[in-house]
Amino acid sequence: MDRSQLLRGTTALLILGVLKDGELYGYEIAQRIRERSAAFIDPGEGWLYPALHRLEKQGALQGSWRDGGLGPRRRYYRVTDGGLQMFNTQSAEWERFAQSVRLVTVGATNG
Amino acid sequence: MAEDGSDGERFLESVEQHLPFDEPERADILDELRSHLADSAAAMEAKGLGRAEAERAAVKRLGPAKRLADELTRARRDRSRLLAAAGAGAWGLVRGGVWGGLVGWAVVTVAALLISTAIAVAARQTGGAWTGLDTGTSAIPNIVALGVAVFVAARLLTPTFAARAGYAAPLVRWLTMPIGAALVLTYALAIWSGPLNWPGVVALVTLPLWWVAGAWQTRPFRLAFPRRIALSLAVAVGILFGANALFGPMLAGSARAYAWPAGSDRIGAPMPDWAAKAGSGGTTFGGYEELTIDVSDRTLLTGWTDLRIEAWRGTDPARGGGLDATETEPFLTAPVQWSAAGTSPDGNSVWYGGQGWPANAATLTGGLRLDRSPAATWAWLALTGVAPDGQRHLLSSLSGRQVFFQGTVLDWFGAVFSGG
Repeated sequence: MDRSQLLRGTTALLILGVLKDGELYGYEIAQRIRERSAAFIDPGEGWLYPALHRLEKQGALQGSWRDGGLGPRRRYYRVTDGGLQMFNTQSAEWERFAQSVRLVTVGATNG
Repeated sequence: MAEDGSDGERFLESVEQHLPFDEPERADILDELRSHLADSAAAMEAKGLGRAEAERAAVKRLGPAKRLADELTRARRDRSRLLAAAGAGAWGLVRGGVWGGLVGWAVVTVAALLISTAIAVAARQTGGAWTGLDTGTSAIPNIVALGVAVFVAARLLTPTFAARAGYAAPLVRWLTMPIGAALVLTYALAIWSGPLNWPGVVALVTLPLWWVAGAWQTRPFRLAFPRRIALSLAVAVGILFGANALFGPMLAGSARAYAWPAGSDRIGAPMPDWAAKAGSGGTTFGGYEELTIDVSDRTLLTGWTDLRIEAWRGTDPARGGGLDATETEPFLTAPVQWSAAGTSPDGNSVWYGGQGWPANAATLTGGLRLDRSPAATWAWLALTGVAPDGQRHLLSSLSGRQVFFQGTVLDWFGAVFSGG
């Protein structure tokens, strides 16, 4: 199965899921998703920044610049109240979807 | 961190080329990607890859630069950006129009003065006469200055709107160029109104080309104090004053002595003695010209028919011209009106009010609009009538008028096609 297809519908959920525990910058977000998924979700990061900017436009995230020490400055993101609400809604929706898929596929296997 | 000329910097340059936003917004996006590449490459170096290889791998994980730039652009677009773009575009139009208008007007005016001075100096040195620009031509510098204003306004609009809206400027110009050109064309044809001649009409009809040339440019444009232009203007003004000091007043020109136009008998001479002795006058109301004679006894014109005012095409007598030798008919005529002696036909104007007029005295008035005749630059006016002998005679002396068309370009073409 093409994992990038699966990822396309869940980018907001994945980003909000790792950011609800605290603010992170882009590279950290990608790493955190990779770690939590045991490297199962690791398609590269081209999808990440468009998704972050879209969520920020929608008001689900708030970004702020911080000095990067010796390196370039970094943009940190944190979840807003609206973003948390979006996460809860999407998370519940995803759970129902995953359960439904499981019911269908288990039924198919048993049948 | 990506260094100049490295894979990372080349990748970032490529992303930047495809981002339509203005400089601060592009810088934010690139800084974020730059920090990501630095972190990603450092992590891969820590796993044992060489520096260059780690950077190449980090770039590869971000995917093609154009696709990333396009997706970032789409992600950052929304309706509020369009509103902001409309506001920024309108402000750019105003700023560009004012700036371009001022600079254009200054440059064109000084250039016109320089050219006028050069012609006046040349005329003086060769013994010729030059009386300055005619009224129709004198509008051209203003139209050209308007063209510069239109160019700068359009030059600012396209990149400003594109950057704020989040669309590529080469795409946006296909919107700004035709809409703006149509609006400018409408203004040039139907709204701008003033003294016109053929060069003026051409300058106005080509006004949309200034817009197209400006809107076609997609690179950002900054309005800056035009030092070179200011320096050029200062030098030009210095030359003007120098020429004036060396050669005497140039811009007033020099006119030859007034010459009675030859061939005036074609109009309707000879003039009866009583008409020659009658009081006469002329009045100008904008483009409306009137001639009057105060006739001591109205019965003197018993048996006369087809009393009218005539306008004959001619040339400026101050330039040695007169009645156009090729003309056999007046280009405009209108019937005259009788009124009480010393009074205009509408009764609003009274002259010689205290004078005791003879019982049968009356005033004869003829009027014509001369600002609707594109083909004439100078006109000779006279009141005439057909006497009982069947011949047309002059009833007033000839009166010369400079003629210039006044109106919009559409008025001009209307007059041309109706044979004016």
